[in-house]
Amino acid sequence: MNIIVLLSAGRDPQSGTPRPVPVELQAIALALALATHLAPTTTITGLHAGEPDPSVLDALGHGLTTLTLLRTNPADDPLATLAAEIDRARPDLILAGRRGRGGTDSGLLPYRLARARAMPIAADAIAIEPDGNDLAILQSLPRGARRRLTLARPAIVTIHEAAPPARTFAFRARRSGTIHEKPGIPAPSPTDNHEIRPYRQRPRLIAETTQPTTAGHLMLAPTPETAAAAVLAYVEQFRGR
Amino acid sequence: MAFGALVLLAWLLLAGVAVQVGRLGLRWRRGAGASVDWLGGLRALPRRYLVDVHAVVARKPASSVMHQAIAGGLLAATGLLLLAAIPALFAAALYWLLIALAFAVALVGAVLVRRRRVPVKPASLSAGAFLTLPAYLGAYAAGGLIATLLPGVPGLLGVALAAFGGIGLVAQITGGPMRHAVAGALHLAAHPRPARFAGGAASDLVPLDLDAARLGVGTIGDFAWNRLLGFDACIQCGRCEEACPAFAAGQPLNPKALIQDFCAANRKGGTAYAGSPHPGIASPGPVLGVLHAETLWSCTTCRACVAACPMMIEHVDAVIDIRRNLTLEHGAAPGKADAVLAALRYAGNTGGLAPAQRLDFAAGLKLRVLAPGEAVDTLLWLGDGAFDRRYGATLRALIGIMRAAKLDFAVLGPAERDCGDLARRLGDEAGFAAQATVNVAMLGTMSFTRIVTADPHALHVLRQEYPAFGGHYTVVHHTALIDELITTNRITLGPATDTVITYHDPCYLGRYNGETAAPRRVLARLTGQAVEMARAREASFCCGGGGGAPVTDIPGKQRIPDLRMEQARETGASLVAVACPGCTAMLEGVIGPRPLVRDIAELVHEALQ
Repeated sequence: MNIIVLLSAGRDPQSGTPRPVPVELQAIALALALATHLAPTTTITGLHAGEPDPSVLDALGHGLTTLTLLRTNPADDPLATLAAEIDRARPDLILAGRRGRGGTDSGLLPYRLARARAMPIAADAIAIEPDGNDLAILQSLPRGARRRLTLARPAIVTIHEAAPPARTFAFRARRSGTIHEKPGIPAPSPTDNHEIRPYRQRPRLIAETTQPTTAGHLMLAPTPETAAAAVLAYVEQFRGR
Repeated sequence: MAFGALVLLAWLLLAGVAVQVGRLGLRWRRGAGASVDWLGGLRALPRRYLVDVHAVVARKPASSVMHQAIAGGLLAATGLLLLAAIPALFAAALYWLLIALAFAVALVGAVLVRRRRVPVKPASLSAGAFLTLPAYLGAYAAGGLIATLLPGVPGLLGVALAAFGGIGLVAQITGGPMRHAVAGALHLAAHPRPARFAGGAASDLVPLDLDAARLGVGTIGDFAWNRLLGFDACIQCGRCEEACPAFAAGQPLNPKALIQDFCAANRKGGTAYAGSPHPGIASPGPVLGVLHAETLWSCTTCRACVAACPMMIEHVDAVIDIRRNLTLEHGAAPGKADAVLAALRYAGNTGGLAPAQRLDFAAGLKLRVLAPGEAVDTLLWLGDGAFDRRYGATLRALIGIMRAAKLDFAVLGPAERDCGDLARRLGDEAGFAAQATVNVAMLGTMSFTRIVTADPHALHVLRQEYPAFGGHYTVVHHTALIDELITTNRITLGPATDTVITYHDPCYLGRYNGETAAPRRVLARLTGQAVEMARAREASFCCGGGGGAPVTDIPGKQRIPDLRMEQARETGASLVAVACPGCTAMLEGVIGPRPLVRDIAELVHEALQ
């Protein structure tokens, strides 16, 4: 079986320096676990479109032995490049992180890739096992719920943070990993059309209450004295209870 | 007749020793190459033996007397016998009297050797072949004495007795205790850290070639040959075992057993180790075919074993060499190590925190942050302790003192990265090299006359380990700075109190860098009641916070800081003075009623006038 793990140019959320995306490292660990179930001919390849970012190269220290690096301008849309590589490599399974983690990665990419190549996609996997010619996926749902899915190969699966932990980092493996570098396909980035604005905390939506309010009254801009008297009167209700 | 036979015996024994040394040499040749200054080493050998080794041995006077009698007597008697090949000497009565005297001294020595284990064998001493050693020593010395004093048949019987003892001793050179005599002498000449004998601290770890085919020590043959030689110099005296905080806490590390594991890994057969084992773990383990990884991760790198070893064996270097292999090749550092090393690699600090948070402790202090191209007299290196609110209080006190003394100082602020101490002790040499390279480059853009730090680990790394990465700095510990400020009247303190205070020496300040006097001078100005713990200065007992031990967190029967706090309680002190963020955290983490823990900077700041 041929497995591809999509790798993003991650950034450390605190320092902003290049850092592998943790959930993608978990994806590598999941692929390695899957390989133990399968024939020894299973290949696991990391795939990144962009520049040779240290964050991507460091994934080699976490159990990945081969990395395909498709050189594109970091501002380019990687979709065309990745789709072309997938046409060439014909993987049975493509693993990816489940959402953007603050670098130049995007949680939409796996879905765009699935649409572009008409592949089935399953989100938030925490375990993958072979099931005949198909793949049995254990999907993580909110509040600890789990759901089993069966996917036909080839498929794209995004990995959830609740998946087993990543392999620890080994400098030797990072040093000796193989990197295949090839030119990618230049493509203008669709992000140019996006509106960029500062993050703003949204107010929480509160469900409308059906019970009528029975007590209290609204005071608009009261004087301090009136407000204090109202508070006192309210507190007085509870005296002697 | 007996004289001639005795001389012949001495020459035969010498030949036997030569054969045995050859066999040992073949064993050491399995090790990796090392550049050794043989000429300088052999020339320095008498001094290293009589001065450096003796200084350590003499900490136990009875052992010193024992060793002088047995080694001196045996060597003198045998050496003189060998000279009897010269006919003029062979004929001199005084010469034979001298030999008899030497044998008599050796006999006394043999009795003293026996008395070490009989009637009661101390727990730290090994049994096994060591129990037969006094018999061989005694037979050789007594036989020699008889042969030199009595004529005729009794004299010949003496030669036979001496032959029995001598052959027993020579046989013990490859597998038994006598290996120590041969390997010990050669180890002193070919020591991997010759700077130790020149009065230097020589406690820095040596950088690793990160492009090497093998990273660190993965098999016994990856040790340099003179390290293998050093392990064989061990006589199992158990002083390292007595000094080791991890052993005392019941963690699975006994430094004596560790060295013997290395010896066992490098030979087939030989006498089995008969000393106390690594506590709570069954030997042998998988690492090098002899060890468990837990043994190596229990070490706090406090160097107490190295300082206690009369044979100058470098236990900590060996532990780090294997840790480098485990971490760099296998990513096998246990506990939280992988997460901490990742935090260091990507955020530049061990907590994985935002670099700007390093200055959170100094909110409102308006510290000057040094920018590239700027100059300052004193650079205050904050260290990763700055992220900890408790240690922030110490740093605020230190800054208060530096301001009272009107020092021209600044900090690096967000540009400062962890010095890499933790990565290096956990075997992540690649992570350390990355930190060191970035820090040295960053410091190179600024101009300062000295670095002051309150963290002995940062002090050690900046002072002793950054030179290998091109960073040469004058680094001053804050206790030395405070001492200097008091002596030069830059700050004035109130009258000394009568609080009973005991000072806990940080390993990386005392043992690693030999700074034990300045903190005590400062303390003497603060209180008239400074008391010492039994283990102080170079013999100090680790707090348990070094070498990444809190990160790997290998369980034992007790916790090391609890043991140290108990030692502090025994002095009757109501306050333990510390001088290290690690020691502060470890000792303050001791639960139950205990003396207060205060950094010397905090005590001085309170006493400022």
